[in-house]
Amino acid sequence: MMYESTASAIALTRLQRMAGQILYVAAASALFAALQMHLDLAAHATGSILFGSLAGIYLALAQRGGRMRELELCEQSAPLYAREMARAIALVPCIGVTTALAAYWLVTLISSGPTVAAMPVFLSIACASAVSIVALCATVRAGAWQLSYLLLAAALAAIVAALEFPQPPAAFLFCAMAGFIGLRQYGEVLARWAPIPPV
Amino acid sequence: MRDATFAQRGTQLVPPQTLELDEGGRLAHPCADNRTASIVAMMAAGLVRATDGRVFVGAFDPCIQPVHVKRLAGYVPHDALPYEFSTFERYIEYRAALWQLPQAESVVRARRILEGLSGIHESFAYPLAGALIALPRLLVLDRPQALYAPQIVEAASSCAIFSTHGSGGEAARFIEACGVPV
Repeated sequence: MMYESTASAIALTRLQRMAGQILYVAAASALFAALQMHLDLAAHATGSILFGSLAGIYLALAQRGGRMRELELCEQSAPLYAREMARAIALVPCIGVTTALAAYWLVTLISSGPTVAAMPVFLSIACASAVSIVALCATVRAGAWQLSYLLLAAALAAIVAALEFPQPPAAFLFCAMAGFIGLRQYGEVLARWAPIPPV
Repeated sequence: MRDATFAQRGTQLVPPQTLELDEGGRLAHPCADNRTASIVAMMAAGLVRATDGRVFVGAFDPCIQPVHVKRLAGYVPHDALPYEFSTFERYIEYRAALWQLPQAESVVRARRILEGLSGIHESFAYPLAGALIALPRLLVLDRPQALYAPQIVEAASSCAIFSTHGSGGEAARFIEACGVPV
């Protein structure tokens, strides 16, 4: 298989390595939707945002260290600008949460029938993607900074869940802005990050 | 490298390092421990920026032009095992995509390099062949085994070789095996 671009090489290789984790998250997401089957659409919308965000944080944190160490060193030694690398790596948790939320809404659609509206589906995906991008910044930080990025990601999910029903356009705008700023920030931090071996 | 140090959160992890390597030269650099050796190799390959002092690779400063430095340098880590790639060709295609090289040509070139690395375990031979497909002018090796020194020097005959070692003894063994000056 030939890679079309640098971004596709980074994203596809990381996705391949995380395939098992993404499948587990998607299965958990489907189970969560099944447990919520007797609740109304508002509960489904809030549940999908919160569960999708949690999955996004988990998949973002899985991008560093451990099994990713070898890929990390390879990517860092390649002549790439940090912003290119940041965009490619950010694709991975975004695709992961989209898969998980697709499983969630598929189960909801089966259990609730065709009453599911499109807006909560797209908003949950937008929110979980923005949360995972903000959580990615925590992977290249340590100590208090790492914790603050994780809290920021959790706060983002809570704000979107609160904004959702009264103000859907505001919630979409908020996700887009948070995702954009988070990605810029991730690229800048990645440029200064030193992949030194752990103690 | 002139008085180059690396510190993290106020702790100095790499004491001042001063060394020079000419184009096409060979240098085995002994460090105080394995972690220091690993960080010094990363500093030489442009992966880690020196906190103090100066590092130049060719005419480029990794703090200002890291991408230019990474085009010149090929980095082979100590413990990067390409286990999860199904085949050698897949691994080379991945690396070629990262370095924006033609993938099919790179696979052919890598196979030729790999033939010259007979006797080297694939966990070291694959990353070495992967680093050499981009035709680097400087090959940076993080704690290579002395046992593989002759094949490394043969495969990377067209570029400068800089290796770091966790102790003076390891560096001496590497020098003895391939005849590089310290």
